[in-house]
Amino acid sequence: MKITVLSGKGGTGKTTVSVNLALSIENVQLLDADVEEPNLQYFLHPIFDKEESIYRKIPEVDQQKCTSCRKCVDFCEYNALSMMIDEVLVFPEICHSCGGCKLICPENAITETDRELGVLKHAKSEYNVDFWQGELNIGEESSVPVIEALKKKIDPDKDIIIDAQPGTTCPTIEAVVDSDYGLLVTEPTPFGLSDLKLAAKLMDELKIPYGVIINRAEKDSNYIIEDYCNINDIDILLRIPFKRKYAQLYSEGIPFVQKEKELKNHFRKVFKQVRSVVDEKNHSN
Amino acid sequence: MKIAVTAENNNGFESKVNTHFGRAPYFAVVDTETDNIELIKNEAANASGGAGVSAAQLIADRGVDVLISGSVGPKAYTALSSGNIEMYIIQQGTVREAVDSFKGDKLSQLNSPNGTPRK
Repeated sequence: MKITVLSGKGGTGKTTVSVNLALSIENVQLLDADVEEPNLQYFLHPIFDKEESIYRKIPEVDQQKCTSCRKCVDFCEYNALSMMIDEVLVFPEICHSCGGCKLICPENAITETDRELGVLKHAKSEYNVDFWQGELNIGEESSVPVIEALKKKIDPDKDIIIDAQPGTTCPTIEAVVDSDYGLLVTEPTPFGLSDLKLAAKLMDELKIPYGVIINRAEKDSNYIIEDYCNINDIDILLRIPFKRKYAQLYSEGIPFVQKEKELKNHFRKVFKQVRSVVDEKNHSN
Repeated sequence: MKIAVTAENNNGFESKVNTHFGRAPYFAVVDTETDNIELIKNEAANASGGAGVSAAQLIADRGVDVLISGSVGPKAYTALSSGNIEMYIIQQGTVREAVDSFKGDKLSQLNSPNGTPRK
């Protein structure tokens, strides 16, 4: 089963939920797909044992073969090529690696070279979690290819937890698109609600079942999220209380379930509940 | 000689200068021999990326020798330099004032990018 942890708003507690859920169940693989700011490492303290680069293709123009016909420059939607005097210049940072210029060149003057886009790192963490982390290089425009490559590391014999990037754009969608379930993490504030609605809309659109976890939950303010979930018939799977102890553990990089067995049981129940929703859906299909 | 000045609006020599090369709404292209002016709309002003490269292409295609603007980003700088287009800096005034200052040798030349890319 593949579960992606996501949120509309940043900083709600996706990493907290991902790591605590992973440490509460057996035979699990954890993927950090928040490749612009991979933070799971601060709770897992991994010693990386494998590292591989992810590349993308960038055009290279053979100026000997080029006749300055300009077809490639006119074709490029991203302005990554320009024709100055009679030479084609390539701007790799803004190239989207679509390969169109190579196809359109009548002289076959364009070949492609690799440019490193990011890296994948693997570790068996100190809590015995099979862990892969994606990292996007600074200045790169698209993290989607790194997330695609990261998902190729999925072990089909394990339960998978994917920590996604906040928001509802391409990188988040790439992380969640083929998951069995989405855990939407939010906080009981107007910001939390506003962005939860966006994430819920995304999940409806993708037709993936989902439930909500309220982080930094407080009796007096939970209604902000609860009212919305009740009206829209969305399951609230867990409320992680706003406690000084959690803040302290967080600041020390210690997963909460290492110190609180009760919370571990709660996360196990969440996992069971998710499993039953997914099983039910699979049976009805 | 052809001079391009980044312009805020389309008002001939009285157009206000704009200080951001890639995102300027117009380019005023002035032919110093004939004192003719042509205002060209910068189609790349709202491009999601590569506005500077596209703008450089636009003025290079018009046979421009000199650019007067406020700031030029790194990619545009590379493109303009490769096109042998000299760059000079101005912060305010009209297109007429910019051209006159250039002719009077009052503008400083740009020898490295001074703008921030907005991708």
